[in-house]
Amino acid sequence: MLHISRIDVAYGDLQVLWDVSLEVGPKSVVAMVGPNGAGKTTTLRAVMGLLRPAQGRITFMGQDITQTPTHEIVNMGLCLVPEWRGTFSTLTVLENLELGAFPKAARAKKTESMQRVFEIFPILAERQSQRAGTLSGGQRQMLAIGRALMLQPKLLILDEPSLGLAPLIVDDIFKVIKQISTEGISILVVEQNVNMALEIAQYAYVIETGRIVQHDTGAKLLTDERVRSAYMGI
Amino acid sequence: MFEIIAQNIVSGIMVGALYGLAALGLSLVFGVLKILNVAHGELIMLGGYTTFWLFNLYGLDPFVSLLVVLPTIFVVGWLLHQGLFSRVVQLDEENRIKNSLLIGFGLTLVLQNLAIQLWTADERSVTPAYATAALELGGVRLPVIRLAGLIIAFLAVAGLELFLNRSYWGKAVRATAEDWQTAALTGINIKTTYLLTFGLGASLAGIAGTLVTVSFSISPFIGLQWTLKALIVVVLAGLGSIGGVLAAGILLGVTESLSAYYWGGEYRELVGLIIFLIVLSVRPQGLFGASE
Ligand SMILES: Nc1ncnc2c1ncn2[C@@H]1O[C@H](COP(=O)(O)OP(=O)(O)O)[C@@H](O)[C@H]1O
Ligand SMILES: [Mg+2]
Repeated sequence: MLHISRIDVAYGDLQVLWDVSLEVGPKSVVAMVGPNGAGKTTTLRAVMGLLRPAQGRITFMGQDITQTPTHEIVNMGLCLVPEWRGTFSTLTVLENLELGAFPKAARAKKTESMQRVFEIFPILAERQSQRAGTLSGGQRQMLAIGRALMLQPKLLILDEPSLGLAPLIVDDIFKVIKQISTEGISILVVEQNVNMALEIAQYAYVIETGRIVQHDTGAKLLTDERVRSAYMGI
Repeated sequence: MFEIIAQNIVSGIMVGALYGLAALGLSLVFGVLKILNVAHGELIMLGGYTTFWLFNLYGLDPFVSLLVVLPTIFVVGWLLHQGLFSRVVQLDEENRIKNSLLIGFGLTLVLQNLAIQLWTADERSVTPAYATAALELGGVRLPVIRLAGLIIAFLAVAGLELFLNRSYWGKAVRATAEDWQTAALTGINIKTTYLLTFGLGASLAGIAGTLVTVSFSISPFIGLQWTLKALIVVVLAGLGSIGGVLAAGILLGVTESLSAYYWGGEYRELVGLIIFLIVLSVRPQGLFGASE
């Protein structure tokens, strides 16, 4: 459903992505792994229209979205939980979730989406009138994912969902990601936590210094020697 | 003695509410778009002239004219943003401020000269039948017009708070102010949010213009002085608190009024500026702004 084909992306004069291609099919979990600074976040920015690629094409559900404004991409059902979490700290938990259902189509299903989010993350129901700025890191990540689910996305992209979280909470988050994927939502997860990402991914891409250097099924990459020595210290 | 001081405080509150109202739109636009529109005072002037001509040509009551001023200046703001400021908003924050200043200064000159060409440089004011009417309260005189201005300033603040806190678009405006990228990722059309905010900021300037016209007078040249007043109030208040803007306006009004009483009229502006400098150096986030 998402096709990134051969994109080059630059910040001003500084090119950081070369010829990056990636594909996410319906009902699948795909991972993109690589070291810090490899260009993972930049790829996602380009997908979401926050940056425009200098070369190449991005399509979603058969439609070219290379030049589409961000909010329209979101309205099509493509949703990103950014690295910086993406919650509004001055708004309450409830307001954050309500805003998640901003697009018209999502607004109609607001109540049922909200119920679903509270089922997945009961802590958010408890904290609903609290400002998001007062939440812990893990709770804020849950709120960010919850907010994205309010949009009833077809494809959910998560940028380093484990970043800065305690191992137990990371386990919880990955459980939720798996659960969401069984409900028919496709997932593209970007991680430095290579092990966890490859475990849940059917297919995965390895990106290094702005280029895709390897791609294969998650299971194969998990046992791949190069990947194991570079990312798992084995 | 006590009555004179009370009178000065009350007058200060009423003028200060107008300062607050003049600053409200500037603060809103700065907080959300991160641009400084120095032609804000000219929008106040345009609001004032709308009221003046409606009164002069059709005998429309200045307060009723608000019903026309509000949408008219909203549209003016909408067009200005669409034509000029929307280009600036795409830049990074530092360049936004710089470029918006340039555009704003240019716009100031254009609107000022346009007003001179269209309406001459004469000073204008409106004098409805109740222009000199006043209530007496324990020896303190409350001019009806200023009192109405005070009420309208409070209504504008309450209306804006209600919009920002209760409506979907209001929440979208707050979200965009905090983090435009995340707002866009939430499905908010931030271009529309910016347009709406600029239009609203302009409308608020328009309302202030109406009140300036009934309480004082207008000419094509009043813009700069009101922009400066508004800027002082915005800095005093700090960003992020709508009520704080009104409170800071009132604080400035009362301070000016009292210093004029104690030390003479020439100190009116000076004391306001001194407070401005003190707040800027001691509490740069403003009196009511959240610290970083
Ligand atoms: N706003 C920016 N301006 C200039 N260079 C940037 C910017 N953001 C990231 N970069 C550079 O782009 C490269 C890729 O960064 P990023 O996509 O954030 O990597 P990753 O998400 O894989 O850690 C890095 O070299 C980084 O320094
Ligand atoms: Mg990153």
